[in-house]
Amino acid sequence: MQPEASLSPPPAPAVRALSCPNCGGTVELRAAGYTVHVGCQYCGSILDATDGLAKLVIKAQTALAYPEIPLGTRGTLFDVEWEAIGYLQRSQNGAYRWDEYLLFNPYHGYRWLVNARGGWSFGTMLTRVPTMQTFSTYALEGTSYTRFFRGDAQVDRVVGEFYWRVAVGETVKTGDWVRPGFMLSREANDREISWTINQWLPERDVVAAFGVTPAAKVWPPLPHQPSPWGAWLGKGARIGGIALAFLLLVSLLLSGTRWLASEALPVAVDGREQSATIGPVHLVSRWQRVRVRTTVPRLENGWVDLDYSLIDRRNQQVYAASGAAERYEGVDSDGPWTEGSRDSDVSIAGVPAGDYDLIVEYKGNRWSQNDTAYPDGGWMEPTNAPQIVVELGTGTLYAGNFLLALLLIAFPWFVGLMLHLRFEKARKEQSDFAPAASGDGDD
Amino acid sequence: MDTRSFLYALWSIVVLGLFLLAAVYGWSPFAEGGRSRTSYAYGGSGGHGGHGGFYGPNHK
Amino acid sequence: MSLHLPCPHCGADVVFRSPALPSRVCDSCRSMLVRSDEGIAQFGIAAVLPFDVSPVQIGMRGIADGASFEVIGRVRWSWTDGAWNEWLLLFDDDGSTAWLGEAMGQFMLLRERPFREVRSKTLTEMAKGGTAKIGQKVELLGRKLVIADARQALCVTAEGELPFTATSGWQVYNVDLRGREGECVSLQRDGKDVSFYQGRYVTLAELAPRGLRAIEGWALPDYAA
Repeated sequence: MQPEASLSPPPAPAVRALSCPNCGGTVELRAAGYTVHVGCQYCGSILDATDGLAKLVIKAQTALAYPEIPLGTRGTLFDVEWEAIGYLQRSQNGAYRWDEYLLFNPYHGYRWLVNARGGWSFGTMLTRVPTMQTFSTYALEGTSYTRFFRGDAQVDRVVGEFYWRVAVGETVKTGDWVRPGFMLSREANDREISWTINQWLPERDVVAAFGVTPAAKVWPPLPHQPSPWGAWLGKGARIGGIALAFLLLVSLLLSGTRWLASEALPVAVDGREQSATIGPVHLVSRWQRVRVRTTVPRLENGWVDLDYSLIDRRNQQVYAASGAAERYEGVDSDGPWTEGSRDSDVSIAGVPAGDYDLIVEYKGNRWSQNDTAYPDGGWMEPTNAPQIVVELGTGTLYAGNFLLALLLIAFPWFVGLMLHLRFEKARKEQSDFAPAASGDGDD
Repeated sequence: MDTRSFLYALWSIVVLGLFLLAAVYGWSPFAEGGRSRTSYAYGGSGGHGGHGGFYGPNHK
Repeated sequence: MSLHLPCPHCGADVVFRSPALPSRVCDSCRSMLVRSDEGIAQFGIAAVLPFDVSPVQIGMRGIADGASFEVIGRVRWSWTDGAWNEWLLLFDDDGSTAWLGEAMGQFMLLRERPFREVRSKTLTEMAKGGTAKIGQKVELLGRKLVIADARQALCVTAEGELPFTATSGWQVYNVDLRGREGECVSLQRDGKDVSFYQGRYVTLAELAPRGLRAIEGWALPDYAA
């Protein structure tokens, strides 16, 4: 409070009441001194109030407008209290109707509150002129805006007061350029060109400020509606990135296998089931993964069935796993081919510390192209000295676990990305300049 | 932090936690073998079944 | 040097703060007075200012380009499509003046400049009586400007101290030019006399105003606190 406040004159009244020369109704002037035209809320006549008197300009000729926000309603947006003093219902040649409210605060001037398809924007008239950057972009204060709409806008219904001469049916050429959250709008008639910057408003802000009824979800989105996922993707990438870096670090520290035992076992030529015991093996970690890798160096056109039983000497608890090594080769019209591999690598999960024996049960098999169950010869010929080499090691980390964790961490971010792309696609499809413009472009 | 980022961070922490827990126990859903229900003295071998049953090349 | 004299019409004390501002409207009786070496002359009574909700008032102080000023006068103009205020600012340190134009809720800070500095052919022709074409581009003092408006302006009334006598009904031809960065230029032609003003768009907030007019039902803005 200023010290001289007590000496200052009483505050100037804010509202002046005029009476409509057509219907006699009381028209309230809320921006006296600025207001040029007033649309009478009772009869729809247009009055001139420039000099503080109401002179009839156009006698009631149009349907009355009933704005959702009653004129005179005040609401706070961007920490400033605004009063809705004028309302225009506009359209592009009668189609794509939208509503515009003129907001006023004597200390902050005018703003626009625009409602298109249920979505809201806050418009400020520019005193600067955006510069054309390329054929499709304009720049304002170093930020660029991409073209979106082009068309005509006409005034269909009018009520309340305005700082210019409003006329129903008045048409201007419009052009809109957008960036997320903002739309740069140009309106031009033969007299002047004016630019407005429209900031997209979340509906809850307008509900809180002016008590409007929440509308259904705006879909497709408004041209300048920011994607609800766009801004998050960067943040999400940081969170996911940190998690992945941590995952990678831990995995590097935990990776690797310590090999504890290795044994070569001969494969019988008759293909009978054989068994061998390797051990004892001492496992030191409280818990571990046991890896059993069996290599069959001479394997060709055949397979080896492998059954492992890791037995705890203390309590005869069995940790079992099976595997197979298969390898085939042949020649066809495309040339020679091979399939399979000469080794089998399996893991046994969750093995506690202790002394263990590994029982390997294995059986060599031959495969022939003419489907003979037990062909002679092949890789199991004694001259080939067929054998399997069994190696046993311990470790903690599974590549599968790593990949699963990787996928699980990345998944939500990719869902966000998909939703963002879907939103952006739906938004851009509305543009008059969309590559595959559908039927709702210019007529 | 917004709810979305918070939930994502929470999710990441849970996944990393489970990953570490699995590492501590040497456990994985992808392991070919594990603790068998029977002890070796009564149950014999770990049984067959590490392979689909069909042997031979898939080459066409 | 302030000069205090009694109003020849009502006897109230009237102040002339600067010889450069010889004209003023008596605050009590709205007589239009002009000061000269011979004394004070009266030119009738100024019309009553229409009711408005302008946040600016005489006595308001502020800072523009680092210099503090006081609002000491106002002329209200009208044209076919509306009306606007021109507030006269008197700067404390050098006694210079500037105009704060107030239209459509926006403000322009303009200072008078000698028209002979202007080299633009378009503008010199306009000064000789030519009509401005809206939308025409003009290169002026190294800046690219566009003619935004051209109109016959009518003086509605005035108050406070002024460099000229603003009689109701006085008509001038007014041309406004705008630049891309918010620059403004205004040309006023009254018969053969041409006044030339140059400046830019400003917001009330950036003028750090003190003593804004209180308006019933509206909280004073944060920037005035």
